[in-house]
Amino acid sequence: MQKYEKLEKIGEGTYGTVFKAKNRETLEIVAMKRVRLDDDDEGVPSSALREICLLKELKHKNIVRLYDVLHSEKKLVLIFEYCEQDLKKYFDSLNCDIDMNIVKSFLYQLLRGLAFCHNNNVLHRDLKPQNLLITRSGELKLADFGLARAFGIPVKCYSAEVVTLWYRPPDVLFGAKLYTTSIDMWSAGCIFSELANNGRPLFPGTDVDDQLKKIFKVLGTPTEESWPGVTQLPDYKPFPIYVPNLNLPQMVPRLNIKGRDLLQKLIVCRPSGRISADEAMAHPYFHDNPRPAPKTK
Amino acid sequence: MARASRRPVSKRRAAALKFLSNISFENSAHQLEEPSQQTVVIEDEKCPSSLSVGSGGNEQIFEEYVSAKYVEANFMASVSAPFRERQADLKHRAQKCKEVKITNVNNLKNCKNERIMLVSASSKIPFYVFSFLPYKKNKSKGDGKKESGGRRRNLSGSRPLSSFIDTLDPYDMLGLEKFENGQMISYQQLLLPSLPEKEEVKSSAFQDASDQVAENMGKTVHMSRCMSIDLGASAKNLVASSSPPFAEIRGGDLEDYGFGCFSQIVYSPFLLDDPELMSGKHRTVLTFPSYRASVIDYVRPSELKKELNEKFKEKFPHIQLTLSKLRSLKKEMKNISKTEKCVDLLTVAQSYVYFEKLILRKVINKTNRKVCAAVCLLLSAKMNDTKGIALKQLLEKLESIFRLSRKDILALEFPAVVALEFSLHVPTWEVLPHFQRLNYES
Repeated sequence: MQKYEKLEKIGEGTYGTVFKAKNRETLEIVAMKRVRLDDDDEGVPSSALREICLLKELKHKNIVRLYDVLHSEKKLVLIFEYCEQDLKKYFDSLNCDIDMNIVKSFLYQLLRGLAFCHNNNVLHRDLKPQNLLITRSGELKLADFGLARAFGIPVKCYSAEVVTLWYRPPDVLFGAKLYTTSIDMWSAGCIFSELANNGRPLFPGTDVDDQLKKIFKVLGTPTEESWPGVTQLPDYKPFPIYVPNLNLPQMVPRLNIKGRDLLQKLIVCRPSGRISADEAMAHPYFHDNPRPAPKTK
Repeated sequence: MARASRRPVSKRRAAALKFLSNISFENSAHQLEEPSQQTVVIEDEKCPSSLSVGSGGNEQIFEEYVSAKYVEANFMASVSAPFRERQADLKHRAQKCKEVKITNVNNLKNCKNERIMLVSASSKIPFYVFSFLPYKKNKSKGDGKKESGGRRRNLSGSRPLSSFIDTLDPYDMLGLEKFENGQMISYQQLLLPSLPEKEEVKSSAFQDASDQVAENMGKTVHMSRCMSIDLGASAKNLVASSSPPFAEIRGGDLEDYGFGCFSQIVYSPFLLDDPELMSGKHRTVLTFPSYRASVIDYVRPSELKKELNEKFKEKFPHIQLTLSKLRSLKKEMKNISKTEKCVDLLTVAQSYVYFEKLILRKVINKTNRKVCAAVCLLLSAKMNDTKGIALKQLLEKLESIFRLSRKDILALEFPAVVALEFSLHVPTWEVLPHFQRLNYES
């Protein structure tokens, strides 16, 4: 523990407390996640295990870097690169409308980090503004891989209890146990809309039913025609038939036409209809000027 | 009857008959041989022609049985050799006898594991004795002898549940640095990616489509290269090389990652549990213009096992585990997925990768092999969405199936992760062959 000096508490992660700390030798500021091992009769928490083992393989500028793992009898300490704030806090700190170029830059960085995960066979499964870290220089990094998993071999055994409700896609809300990279793309779509609306969430449901209702009111209730197999999903139940009412100019007024087109390709109920991270990065939305200046404040 | 005429027929027959009548009629409770067998006396009412015996035919029949090995050796001995001592012995053994069943010859089909005595219908004179010996795959008498010469069987089932963690250091056990109380160990050096890095170098924040195509193409080329080298050649290369397959070059050399990234151990799913090591040398492959056929001779399982284990040992002299033990451990791991809903075959397949990697690291030995197998399954389950109640059930199952204490399993969990260098996210091509094999077998 001597190597790092604990400074202040940053937050409470899914499985431990996060502190800001300083490396005594290099004076580098790091984030320190502490995992207690003693009061657990299941050994190392799976979220910590996933985070270590997946982040080891995922070295990318848009993915938070795991610097070190410290282990003692009673605890496990993960040392991460330090980022000033997360996207949620960033939204909260905004006094005026967000610069649309920053929106574009953040989304691009999110997609780039995500594409890297997906190309390395990793699903994040918990994308939300709190888990996107923002550095002072305007870099965005994916963090919290405690729910992430490999997806190389498709089996119907994936957990359906993933992704925070507001960012959870309809297939997983219906209990799908087999999904792929499309799960993260839906979340990315929700975050895109949230970015363009200064942090106002797209589908802030109160429970699973309400969440689905909110989604279907905008995108229309899926049917066997629009989404073959939807009725076979484990937790499927019929919903009132809403007709699609996707009024994007009203939903994301500040987003340009190309941006709206990309958003429309991300929030698609049928999983196979969603655009992939690689495809999204090639979308015309990112072609035109101005090259986003990734400066926050 | 040329043979019969050469021998003192009447004397021998008399001896045989005397012996037989002794055991079956002097005391109806008397019985020969193993307690598990029972004697069936069959009354020869409608003697089938092939079995029908005149007073002169006995010799011939006994001769046939010697050659056919249907009658137990000791019994034949007692017929042909001086049998007084034998008789005493038999009488002694007869204390253990169970019953003598008398039945009709037509019920012969239903006899199992029994000694049959045919007696003539009129005078109840026995003229024919033979045994039904059930064919058993692995526990015939001969095997037992062979085995006792070699390795002693580990009676894991009856061994009391013991914890070794109190006496042994779990880190030391896996060939890692010992863990001292209160010490904080850093594993920074293990955090270098084990997979070949796919870093994109982009000058501009936005890359155009063509760039991306190029990148993707590079990726696929890279992958296929990976596949061909690792799956195809590695096993053969390893066998071919005269030096021990894995020279230990751990530590310090971690910069050199690529294929040998995993601390110079190239893993291939078929490296250890080679599907070719199934029938050993007892197979002849015939290659015809349009097809291939294999002729597999029957070989006693124990001999085959011995041969395969020897081959395995030759290939991996430093591994303290036999192929048969590896396979039986893997089978036990698989059985857990059969009984427990909490573990799917993908989890099992991935745990095989972990376990085999630990073996290749030469950290598995007789003391820790079971607990390591359990730990690998636990780790794989944790990486594969097994949580909550299902994870608790799995732990309980591991405790009972492998006869381990939870304390031991959990004590070895983190050391195992360290021994695997935190590489629990393994490439699909390492898991898929195991997964397919499991699917095929089940």
